[in-house]
Amino acid sequence: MASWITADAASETWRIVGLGSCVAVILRAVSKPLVGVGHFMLPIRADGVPEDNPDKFVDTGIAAMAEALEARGARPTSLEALVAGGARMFRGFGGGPAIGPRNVAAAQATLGELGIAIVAGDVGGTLSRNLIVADCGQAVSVAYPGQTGHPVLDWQVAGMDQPT
Amino acid sequence: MTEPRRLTELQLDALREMGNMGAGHAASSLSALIGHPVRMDVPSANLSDLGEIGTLLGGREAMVWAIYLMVSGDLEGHMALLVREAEARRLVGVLLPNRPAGQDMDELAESTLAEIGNILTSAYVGALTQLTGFDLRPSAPLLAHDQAGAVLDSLAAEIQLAGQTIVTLEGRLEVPAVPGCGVLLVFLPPASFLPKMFAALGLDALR
Repeated sequence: MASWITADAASETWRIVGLGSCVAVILRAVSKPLVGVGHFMLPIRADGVPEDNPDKFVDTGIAAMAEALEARGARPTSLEALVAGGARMFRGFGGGPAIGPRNVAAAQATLGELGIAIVAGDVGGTLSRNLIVADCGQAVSVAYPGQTGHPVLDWQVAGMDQPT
Repeated sequence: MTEPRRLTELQLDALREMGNMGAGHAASSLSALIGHPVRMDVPSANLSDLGEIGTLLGGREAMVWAIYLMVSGDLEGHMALLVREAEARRLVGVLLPNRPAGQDMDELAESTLAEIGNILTSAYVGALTQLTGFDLRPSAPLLAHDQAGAVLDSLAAEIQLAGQTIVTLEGRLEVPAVPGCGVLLVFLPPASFLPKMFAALGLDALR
């Protein structure tokens, strides 16, 4: 389920359903209607994971998405990021596997290297999320399974802290 | 020894037979546990991602209970018991008949499900040990209650991070006496161990 797209039509809406330990990274251009929506499953491509598709990895996926946005006219310094997901899905002795936190750390590191500021986020926790991205990334909402309302994430206010 | 990119019909047959043995033992254990006969579907085997299983569970958004454990020893693999929300409630209802119907899944219901997962996966792994002579040790089970898509993506990522391409062997168990009560057992051996497994089964020609 991992891949990314770029778009500039405000009328288009994307849903990311069942975002568990994966991370979603939404990159939007500040100056024009242009957005990249990515859903990544594995943290770092150079870790020797037997997966040929670079778009499944957080680091290579984000880099390719940012490059595609630049090719469509976004200046690298004018991109800002929203990061969501990275839950710890399984619980048990020893806390269970920790791929979710690794994916979040990879996203933070990659965006840092690219000089893209993370202006909003909703990461960690133990539950999956459903995202709706609308209006070229100007309106992003996050809901947990079974939750009816979709609270809209405020790009200006929300930090990287997870909600309680 | 290279990992197979695809499997021949003969290899798939051998895998399905393995799945049959494992799921058969698990079905007997479940039957003994709940006091009802348990029916088993013929298991299917694939060299693929887990996307297809999502369809069996009702789509990416469907809520499921997942009991996940790792198998170590002569073969490093993964196993999961996947139960749809409504089926989990019925299964717990059969085992805990004094609970009021429609009661939410509480801690007791959760640990009951985890224990069912423990018993079924142990039976499955025990059957494989008998069949192959491998030393196979299941880990303590981990539990998740979430959307099927999120659970399956996380499982796939864990397995890939362990450096493995997986074979998916799935089998469904149903309790005919309780309509809409069943579980999906998934065994995920790494593809790199297939030649070794086929050799242990006396199927050297399949290597």
